[in-house]
Amino acid sequence: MRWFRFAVIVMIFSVAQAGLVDVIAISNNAIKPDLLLILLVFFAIRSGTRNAIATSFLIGLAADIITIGSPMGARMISYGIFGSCLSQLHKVAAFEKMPQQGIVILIVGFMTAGLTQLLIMLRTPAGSDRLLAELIWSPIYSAIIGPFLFLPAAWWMGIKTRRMKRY
Amino acid sequence: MSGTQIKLSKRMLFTWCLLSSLIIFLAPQSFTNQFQFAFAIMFRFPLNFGRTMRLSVQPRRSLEGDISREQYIQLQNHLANVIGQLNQMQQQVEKLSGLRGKLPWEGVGLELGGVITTSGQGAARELIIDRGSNNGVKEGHYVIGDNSVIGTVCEVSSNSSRVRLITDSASRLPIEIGPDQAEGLMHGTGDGAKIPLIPAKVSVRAGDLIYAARRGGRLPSPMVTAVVTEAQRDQDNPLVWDIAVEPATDIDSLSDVAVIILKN
Repeated sequence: MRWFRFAVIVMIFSVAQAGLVDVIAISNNAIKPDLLLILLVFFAIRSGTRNAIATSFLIGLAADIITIGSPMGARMISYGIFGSCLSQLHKVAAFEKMPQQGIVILIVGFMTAGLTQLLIMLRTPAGSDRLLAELIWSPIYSAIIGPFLFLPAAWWMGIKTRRMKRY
Repeated sequence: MSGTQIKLSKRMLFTWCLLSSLIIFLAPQSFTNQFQFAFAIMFRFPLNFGRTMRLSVQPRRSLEGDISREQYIQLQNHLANVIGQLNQMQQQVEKLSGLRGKLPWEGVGLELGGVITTSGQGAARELIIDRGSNNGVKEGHYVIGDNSVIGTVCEVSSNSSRVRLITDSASRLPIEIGPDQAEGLMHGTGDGAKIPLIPAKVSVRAGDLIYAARRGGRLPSPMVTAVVTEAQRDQDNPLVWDIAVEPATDIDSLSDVAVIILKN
């Protein structure tokens, strides 16, 4: 695992998620892709189990830091748990094709968003008028564009896109 | 044997990471938010650039007359504020009957700041600005943009602050409404705001201006904050209004704001 390159790509994706992704947001800025979710799935299915666990929690930490005003730790927990689960699942399924990767992003997106919202509600009980967008539409948007971002991410990390060795 | 060791270390890694996450999750938010503020300050230029790009691609509302939308809103709000101050002065004159009154905005400092980025999860609507405790900003201070109250400071770090906008679901702003200056509380709803429990005898129409009520030590005189978009009788209780409002300015397009700091 090239940790320096990992730090750079997480930083780029975090800044893009916090500031630039609004440009491609739809429906009055409510629905936007979650770039860090895409990165989470990428590392969970493209790296070894130990690296996947560490990267999942670190990406979750980055997601917490960029969501200013939201209690920290919720995304770190949800990303870490589901990223680790996905890396275990990767032992029996490869997710090589883009539609498969899209479906994985979609499912992991639903689960992480659900758990994150639940944890946030434990800390700050407040209603959300964008719950539907956060729980459903953002994972769908991420699933559509996510597989296309796997190629540049794999190139940057120096990971070959052929079938991975299972751990 | 070696396989067992690797498996154990994976479990340990997961356990330690999860424990760290729980510690961060349970830590006081005032402490953990410092990391978020640090991120906003550190990457303020790319975040600002992204915000500018988003505003440039968004369709803008039509212009009123020959001046820009921003100028129009500023002038409109300024006029409304002058009228509000005039009303207050008249009340003071009547009340003190000849005693010399102090101008409402004397001794008030305006700390000008830039908007770093917007934030908000769910129905939260917030701005991060580049003014903090080093500039005299404190929690509860009113923030104005285009001459209208847009929110209050809800969290302060040394060089930045989080502003809870009037549309934030947690926002509760004391207001005055109608020619009788009926008092009420404006609740943010995420996309706009509403004002419940205004008696039906108060005259309210769409287009009426809502003023943030004067608050000692915070706001020296009433200041325009929102515009009524819809006013109808409450379905459950016809004796009160169900009023929907929207901010008096386009908050998303603001790049500069000012924090009201009372010097004494």
